[in-house]
Amino acid sequence: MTAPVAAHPHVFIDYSATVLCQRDKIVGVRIAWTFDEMYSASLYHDYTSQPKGPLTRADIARLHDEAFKDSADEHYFTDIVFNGKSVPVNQATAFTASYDGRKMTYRFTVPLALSPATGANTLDIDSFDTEFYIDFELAKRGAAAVADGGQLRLACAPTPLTKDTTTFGPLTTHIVRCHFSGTA
Amino acid sequence: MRLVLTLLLLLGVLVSTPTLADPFHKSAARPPSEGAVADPSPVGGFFTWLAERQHRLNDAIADAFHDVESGGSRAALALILGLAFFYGVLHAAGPGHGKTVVASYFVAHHARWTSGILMGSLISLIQGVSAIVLVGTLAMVLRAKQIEILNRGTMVEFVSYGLIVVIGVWMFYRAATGELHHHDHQVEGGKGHRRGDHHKLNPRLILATGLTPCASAIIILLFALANSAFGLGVIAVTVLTIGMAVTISTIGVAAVLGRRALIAMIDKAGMETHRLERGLAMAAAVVIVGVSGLMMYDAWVRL
Repeated sequence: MTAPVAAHPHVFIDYSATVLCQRDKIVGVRIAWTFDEMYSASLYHDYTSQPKGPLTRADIARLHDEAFKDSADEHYFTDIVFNGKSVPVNQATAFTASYDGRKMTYRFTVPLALSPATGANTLDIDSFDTEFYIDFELAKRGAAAVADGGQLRLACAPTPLTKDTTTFGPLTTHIVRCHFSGTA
Repeated sequence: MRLVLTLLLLLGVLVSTPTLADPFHKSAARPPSEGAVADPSPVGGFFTWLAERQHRLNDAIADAFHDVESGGSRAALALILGLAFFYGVLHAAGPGHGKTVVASYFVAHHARWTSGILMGSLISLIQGVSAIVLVGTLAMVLRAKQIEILNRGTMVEFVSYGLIVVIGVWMFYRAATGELHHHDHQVEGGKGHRRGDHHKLNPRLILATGLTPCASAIIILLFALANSAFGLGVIAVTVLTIGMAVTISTIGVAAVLGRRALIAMIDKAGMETHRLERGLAMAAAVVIVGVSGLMMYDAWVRL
């Protein structure tokens, strides 16, 4: 990734998160990244075989292997904090990509196994590049969603938060913050 | 001329050396983010806001490109040019682009305000040309991947800042040994300024600073290329360069006038200006070396 001082962001991503629940457990977070048009065009140009049109299965596999997989080194630029404690993000499953003719979107799942205790819990999710080469912005619409969160009474909303960058100093970003109040 | 050829050669070597992968491929693993550090801060908010504006502008330029492509309307072309100009103004206000070099240079040297405009414009122009050469060579001749080209700019950046550090050290040496002081004293010490006595711009410094290709120019050119409209990209980048020149020249002029006001103030107070001038020259050189060194390190980290 590139850095901030010289290189203020050159890749812009709108991200959103869906918390995946099963009964009284959180089993994962589905993240979506939508790239800006210019970077999307570069990705499409570099990793697909055809000049236009939707991605083929082979394109998606190539994007995964050549343009996504290695971001594991960066923990997929995703931070998950459960009740104030950082949850390691070392795995991304069910990767897929789509292209609408202008913008490229990646989707992937971070598997989790969180069993909230009864009472108040919080879960923070965000994508962020500490070097600020990529500017991750929380999507203006549909940034936070919950799948099957009824039993946990989960409610997620965008929340401003200041995070540290390697050389750019603190930056205010928007994260997805979820509160949930019960397992009963 | 020999200098220009040397730099072009250097650029050529840099763009043809084997490349590293795109930003999503970094070999060195980094620790997970520390998470939140504080409540929302106004400064951090400003940079985020700036990035968001740039994001919207990026998309707006891209949309206008598609419009030109599909209809070829003049309005869409005018929109691209307008957006590119505004983008240049805004983008050059961000870190990099030689603002520190220009400001420090004019704090250190007595010059006309028009020199501020000249130096700002030259640096912007060379930055645009550098981007066009880089993308033209890599994408059209060597058929490199677009995302690799984005990263190749980093290598040129690293070398460019390295050259500036060297020149900055030289400027410091001259200031410290009094060469510069003597020269400036002659110019500024007398009553009024004689025409033609003004300090000449340093072409090496301008070239080294301009060598850093503007990343946004690279991005626009790559986008244009992906849409088979490289010519349009070159036009947009030219206008972007003019926008950048406005910002950088403004900084240059401000530094020229700032220095003048400071010296006049000291002079009016009946104090010797020699030491101040020498101090300014040395401090400016230190700032150039320090900031460029930091940028160099920053580029190194990204290599």
